[in-house]
Amino acid sequence: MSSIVLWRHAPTPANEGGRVQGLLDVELDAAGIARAAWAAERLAARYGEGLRVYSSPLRRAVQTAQALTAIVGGEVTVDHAFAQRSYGVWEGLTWDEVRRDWPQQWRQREAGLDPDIPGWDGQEAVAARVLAGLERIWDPEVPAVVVSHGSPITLGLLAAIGEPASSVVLGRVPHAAAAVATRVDSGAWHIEAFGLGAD
Amino acid sequence: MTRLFIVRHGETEWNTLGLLQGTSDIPLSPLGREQAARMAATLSELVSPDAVLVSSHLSRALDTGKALGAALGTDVAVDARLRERAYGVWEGITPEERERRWPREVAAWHAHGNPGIEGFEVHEQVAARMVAAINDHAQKAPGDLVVFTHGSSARIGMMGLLGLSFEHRTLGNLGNTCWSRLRHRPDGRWTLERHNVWADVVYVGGGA
Repeated sequence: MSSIVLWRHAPTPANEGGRVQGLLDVELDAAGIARAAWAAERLAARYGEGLRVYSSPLRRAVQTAQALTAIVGGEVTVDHAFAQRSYGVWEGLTWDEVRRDWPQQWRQREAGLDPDIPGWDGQEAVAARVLAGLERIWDPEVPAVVVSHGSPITLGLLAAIGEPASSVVLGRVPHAAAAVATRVDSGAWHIEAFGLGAD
Repeated sequence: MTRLFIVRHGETEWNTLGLLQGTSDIPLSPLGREQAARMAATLSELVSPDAVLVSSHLSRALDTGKALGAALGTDVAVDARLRERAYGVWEGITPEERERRWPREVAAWHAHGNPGIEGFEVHEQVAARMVAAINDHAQKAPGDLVVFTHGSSARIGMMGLLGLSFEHRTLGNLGNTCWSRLRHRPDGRWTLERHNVWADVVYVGGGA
């Protein structure tokens, strides 16, 4: 039995401005780096040195992961299994603009469904790729930390516990906060914790 | 109701010995009281000022709840439907004796099944009374609802609210004085927003 920590990147200025990022490669500012360091200290204290640290390829995730390797040592392994989904034509808009200009698609998303917009990455595919990545890196003895994004973390956890990607049983892990997925010897996953390091 | 917090009681001596407590009324240990005070100091900052507090009648849960009640200046209501799962003849038995005398039953239990021992309350029974109690109190709470309960009753109650299958252990147990937070959606479904968090891992904001 061992666990994988799914850590959401620290907030960027775009997050704080309520803007949809998706595949836009926005960097952390000093405030975001400080949030990452706060959480990294606690993760390092709990899981110790020699942790394996994986990250989504986007800068905000890699910067967050580096706050942890700065303490526990080792390198950040970039892994596309944990990449953000594409938000298609919504990327760069504020969520207020999305709600105003795409009301029907906004409601689809609120109900847990894929909004019908150009370029959107469907949730079933995202859930499957994240779970495949978790099962590939999982080690029965050694825990790992994966820095990823809001949607892939929730969708990967849903897939791990056998829930459909459209399920609303799980919210989003806040920025710089973490969830813990534990896999027992039978191969089954459970959600050990959700929202560590949030308010 | 705005949000539902589900809190597990502080540590007891039986917890440290690995004994199942179930409906046996075991008091908090000195450490359990310290844990309750830490939980109360943090949760009193997070819940709404008009939060409604309801506890299992078992003293380890009720005394944990009273720590938050004192911090908020509010009473803790008691609802016995929030009690721990009954473990029947397993209550107070050491893990070694349990393994020796009931090997097949223990294996079924570890696989999240029903061990079928005398007096054991099955998942469906626990879920039914937990969900009924929480829905009753949620309808009456103007702000947040905070429920003080036990390891198994908390987990099975949440799985019941969320509609998760009992076939697998999809949610882990809460640690002592750890809590979860759920939101009731406008469409009637529930969403888990926090699970198994505790005072030390709460981010208290700017400059902390």
